[in-house]
Amino acid sequence: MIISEIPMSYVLILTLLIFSIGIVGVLTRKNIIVIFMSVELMLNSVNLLFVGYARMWKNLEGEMAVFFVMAVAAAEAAVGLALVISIFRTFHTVDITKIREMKG
Amino acid sequence: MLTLSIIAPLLAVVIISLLPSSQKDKPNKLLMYISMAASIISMIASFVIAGQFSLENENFQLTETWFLSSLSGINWSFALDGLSFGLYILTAVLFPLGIYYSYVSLEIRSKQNEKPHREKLFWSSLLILETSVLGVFAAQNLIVFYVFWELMLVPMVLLIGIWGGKNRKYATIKFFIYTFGGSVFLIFGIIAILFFNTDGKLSFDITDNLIMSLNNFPKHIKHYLFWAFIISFIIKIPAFPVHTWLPHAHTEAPTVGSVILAGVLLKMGTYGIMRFSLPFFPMVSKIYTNFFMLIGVIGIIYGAWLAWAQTDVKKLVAYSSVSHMGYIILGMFSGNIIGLSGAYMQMINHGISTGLLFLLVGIIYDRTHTREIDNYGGLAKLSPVYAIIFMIATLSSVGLPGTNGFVGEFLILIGTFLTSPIITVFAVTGVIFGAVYMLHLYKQVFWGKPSEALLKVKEKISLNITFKEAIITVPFVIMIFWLGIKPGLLLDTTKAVLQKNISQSQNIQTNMNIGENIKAVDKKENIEKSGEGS
Amino acid sequence: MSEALLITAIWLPFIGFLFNGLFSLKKEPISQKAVILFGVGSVLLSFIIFVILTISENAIIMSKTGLGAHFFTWIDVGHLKSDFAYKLDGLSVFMAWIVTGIGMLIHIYSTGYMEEEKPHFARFFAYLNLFIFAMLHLVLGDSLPLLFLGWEGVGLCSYLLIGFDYDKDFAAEAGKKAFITNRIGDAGFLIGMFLLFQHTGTLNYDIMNKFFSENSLDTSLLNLIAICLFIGAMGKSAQFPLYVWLPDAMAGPTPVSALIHAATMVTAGVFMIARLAPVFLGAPEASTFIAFVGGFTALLSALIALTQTDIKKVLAYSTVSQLGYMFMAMGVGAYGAGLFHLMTHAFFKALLFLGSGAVIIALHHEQDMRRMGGLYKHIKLVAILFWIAAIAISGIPGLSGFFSKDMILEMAFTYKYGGSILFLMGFLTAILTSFYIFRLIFLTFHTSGDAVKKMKEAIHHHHDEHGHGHGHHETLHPLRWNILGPLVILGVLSVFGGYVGLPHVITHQTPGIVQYFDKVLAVPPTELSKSWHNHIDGGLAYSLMFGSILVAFIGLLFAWFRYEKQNNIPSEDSKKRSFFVNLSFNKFFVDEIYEIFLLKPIKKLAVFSYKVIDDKIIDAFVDALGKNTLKIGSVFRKMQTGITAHYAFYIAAGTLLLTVIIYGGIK
Repeated sequence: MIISEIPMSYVLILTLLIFSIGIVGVLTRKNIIVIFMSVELMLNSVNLLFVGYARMWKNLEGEMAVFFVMAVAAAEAAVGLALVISIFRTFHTVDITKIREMKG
Repeated sequence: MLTLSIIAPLLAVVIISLLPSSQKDKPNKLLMYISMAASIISMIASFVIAGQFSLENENFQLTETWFLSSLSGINWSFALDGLSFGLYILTAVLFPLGIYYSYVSLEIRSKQNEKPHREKLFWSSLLILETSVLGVFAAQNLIVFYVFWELMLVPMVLLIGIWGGKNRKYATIKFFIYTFGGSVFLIFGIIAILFFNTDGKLSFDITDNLIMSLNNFPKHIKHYLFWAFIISFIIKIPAFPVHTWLPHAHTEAPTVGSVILAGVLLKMGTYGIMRFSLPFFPMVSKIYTNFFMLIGVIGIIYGAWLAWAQTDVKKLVAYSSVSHMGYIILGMFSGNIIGLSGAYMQMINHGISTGLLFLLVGIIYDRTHTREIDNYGGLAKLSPVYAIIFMIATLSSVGLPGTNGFVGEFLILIGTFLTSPIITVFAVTGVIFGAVYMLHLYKQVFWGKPSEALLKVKEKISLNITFKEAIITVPFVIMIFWLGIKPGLLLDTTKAVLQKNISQSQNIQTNMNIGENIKAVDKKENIEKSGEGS
Repeated sequence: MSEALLITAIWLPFIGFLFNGLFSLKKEPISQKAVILFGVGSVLLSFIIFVILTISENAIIMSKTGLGAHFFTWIDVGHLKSDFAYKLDGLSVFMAWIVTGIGMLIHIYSTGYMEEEKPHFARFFAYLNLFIFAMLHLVLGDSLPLLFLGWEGVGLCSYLLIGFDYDKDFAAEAGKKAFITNRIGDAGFLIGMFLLFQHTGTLNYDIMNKFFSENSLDTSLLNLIAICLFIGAMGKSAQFPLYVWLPDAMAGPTPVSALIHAATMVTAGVFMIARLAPVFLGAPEASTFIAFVGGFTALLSALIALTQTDIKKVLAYSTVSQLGYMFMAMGVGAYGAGLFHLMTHAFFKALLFLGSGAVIIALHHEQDMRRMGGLYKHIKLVAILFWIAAIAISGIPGLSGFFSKDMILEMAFTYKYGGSILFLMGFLTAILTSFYIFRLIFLTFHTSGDAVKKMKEAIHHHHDEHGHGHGHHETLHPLRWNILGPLVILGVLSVFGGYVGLPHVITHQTPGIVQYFDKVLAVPPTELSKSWHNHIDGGLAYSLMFGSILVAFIGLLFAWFRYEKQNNIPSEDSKKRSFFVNLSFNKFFVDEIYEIFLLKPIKKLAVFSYKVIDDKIIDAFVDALGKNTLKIGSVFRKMQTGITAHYAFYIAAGTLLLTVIIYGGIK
């Protein structure tokens, strides 16, 4: 099977699966770093979707968007990790169920 | 010039914020000088404007444009017309007086070992308040108007909330929520105008074009918009059922806050009605004329009654405000030039007379620290000059001919009588009740034998007002008699624009009536009959 | 030139007011001479200018429009226009003479009366000058708003002067009462003014007169206007039911009672009716109502005056009663007669008040007649002048009151609607008047009592209470020329003032003063005066006249018998009074009735509105709105667990929900 023959539905299902793993990860994990990784996973699933559609519509704009997302994700990762470190310094934990400053 | 007078106080705030904060026992003179300088610059600039103001011009004049945005429709330009001119000048005059009084008051209190606190914030709040009120009156774009309108809330909330009386928190929250709740309707209305405007051009400018296109809106939309605007305004005035924030805010506010609140802030509501509600929605406001007249009359009588029932001096004056604002509502909805001129005149009058009353109450409160009427008595003997000035304020408040209060009340009542005699008959009883509560207050506080509480105070500090305090009241007294004898000074400024607004409204009504039912035609004839044209 | 003079004459007292007002602010009382110079000088000068104007501009003044003078624009909005413009015509020149003339006399008198009140001397003259200024606006203004300016202005002065001794509670209360009662009237007056403006389109007299000469309004409308305007007059001129303030107003210094509450201000209502004669003439029902209110007031207050023991209270009720006569005259359309009585009353009532002031000051501020008596021996001149005034008011022939009162009774008798009832009321009042005024004279100046001795006793009593008095008042206070002079002039006027209106039966022509007013009032000669001859034939007129002379003497004799012969000094013990005397002594409990049925319920309603409606209903509703918002918020607050995962779950669930909705919508 050559790559151009992979049906769009495969791509969709794959992205959906990766995205769901990401969501479940964000919702269930306690460790803030794992949550962070899950977010990255979700971002990458979207990237995959972009690429898939770009190929389908024969349009480069989707692939362009991927570069943006990757650049932003890198920046976000940097800021995010810095935040994580700062959180760890303040609360001495990375367990988000322990950090409940916003409880109403 | 116009812009200068608006932003001068704001510049002073910048300077004040750069100064180091110091905590001393005595009030900081430098801060007062800066604030005074700014407000006096602003006042002088407004006098220069007054010199250039043309009485014949019925449109915005002296326009100063700073920033035009076709993208957002928010054009920053300032201008005055007959409707805003008088209020603008009043504001510019009132603030220096209020600021100077605050300093004198701080001095007197520091003599009694009361430390001033958070002075920098205090003066800044006053100055921001000045900018925002001046901005409201000079704005000629709906969004700009709204920005200043909301900006006013911040310093006012600070003034009441930080330097207020015992119950200040409750009063502040009530004041804030009431007015902010009203503002929500206002911004909703403003945005909705844009939304429904099929004109094609994106602009929030208050122009005749806007008024014309507003009248092509669907009927029910006009109704909604009318209510959106007027709810915000009648809360600010405040009219009868939504007046309950006023007594609390007035009583708890520091004296200068009460003076400004009564002097100009309440006028923003009535100004809004005159500037927006009436010319924008002539048909709808015609429909609700009787309703609002009724609200006005209830306000007059109810406010007067409640004032009579008060035992707290400041609350009494606050309720008298409700009564006076009732007259203004009445006049505004009379629909003829006599009533409208009277309403406009009464706006200024109320600013002067009630402003002076609050000032006077504050002056004596600085010494006695009590507002209970029962603690007073025989003050005329202890402080004769003060008693005379208070008498003048009282007379202006009850509308004695020769003072400004009479001209306003008289014009309103006669204008309203031409539209709706029955309502006026009830309104006239306000003339009686006005005398009842004010003279009751005067008798209790000033006549009779000096009360024990006052004699005790007298041992500590002289009850006679100082020269500085007397000087502050002089401009008020001059305005009271000047406007009472030469009301043309003020009435001539509004004549052209009111005439324009009335004829514009009538044109719109005539145009609308063509093709509509015959009833509406009859109504229009009634307007003409009621003496506008003859 | 004459315009400028007229304006000067009107504004001169204002200058006096300004100076004296400023003087009064000084801590150290200024020299009384300076106060007198400005206070009395300005009014004197004003009077002189009026005299000069009357002589030099006689022809213009007597014309229909009179001498006009425009000072400056006041109100000018739409078609409402009212200026500070004056109109000196036959009617207003008549009033201006009375106001400045008697005003001047009373100013002079006050320099003596107020001599001892050093710290308040300047303030007193400031108020008096302001009063003259306002009163001149009332009578000389050329439009109703200007009349109203004067109308409320004199009310203010009255308020300030009644409360002149503001540290006395009763004075403060009386001042407030006067102002508020007047305001009730003013509210009616305003409505009348609005109606006139609505239907004639103007408030200027000349334009209005022109309107009425060309058009006519509906009679019922005119009736309504007339009643509304009369309500104003009820307040200002103390007619039933708004008369209650005038007796209390006696708390003010006596010259004030003479000037404001007898001679000038209280007659403003009468003047107003004459000024707006075209309105009242077109309103027959309202006019009849006015006549009956006048008659009733005259009778009621004369009944109250019978038993009062305060010398000034008697005179106050007498004033109310005499004003009732005037309104009776105005009501029956005899404007000339009403204004004639206004003039003679100004003379003799001012004399009575000033005379009583002289008595009061001689006795060092004693006002109770029960503690007087025998004063004739000590102050003969005052006593004689008092007798003159009493003869004048009681209607004994030869003196001024006789002519004017008799004219009113005659006119009332011939009135179409209920004339005989009106006459009867007036006739009864005449008996009572004669009785109470001679009762006053006998109790004060005669009887066996000795005021001087009583005074000494009272002072000893006073001393026991306070330990120290204000000096020893062993003798009467001396009365100097500035007190006696004005009294003598008023005495002369009270004697001869009536001869301008000699009755028709004697001269066989319309009385001079009636001719004068027929000429100057803005109406065609009224039906009544036109048919002067038809109504009253000689015999009837004579019998009416003799009837009223007879009752005057009956009153005199009865008073003499009861007080001089029987020496029946009224008792201070209320139990000894009979039911009717008690009723009269307590003023028919009118004040109490007002208190219970009007004042208290309204005050209660006010307090109720505040405590219940405003606080418990409106404000509580607003507060409840806030509280409930908080409550609802506290329910939703529980959703904020602080666990990030929960928030993420809400977001995810929300997104899913939206997707489903939108997707479902498309399908």
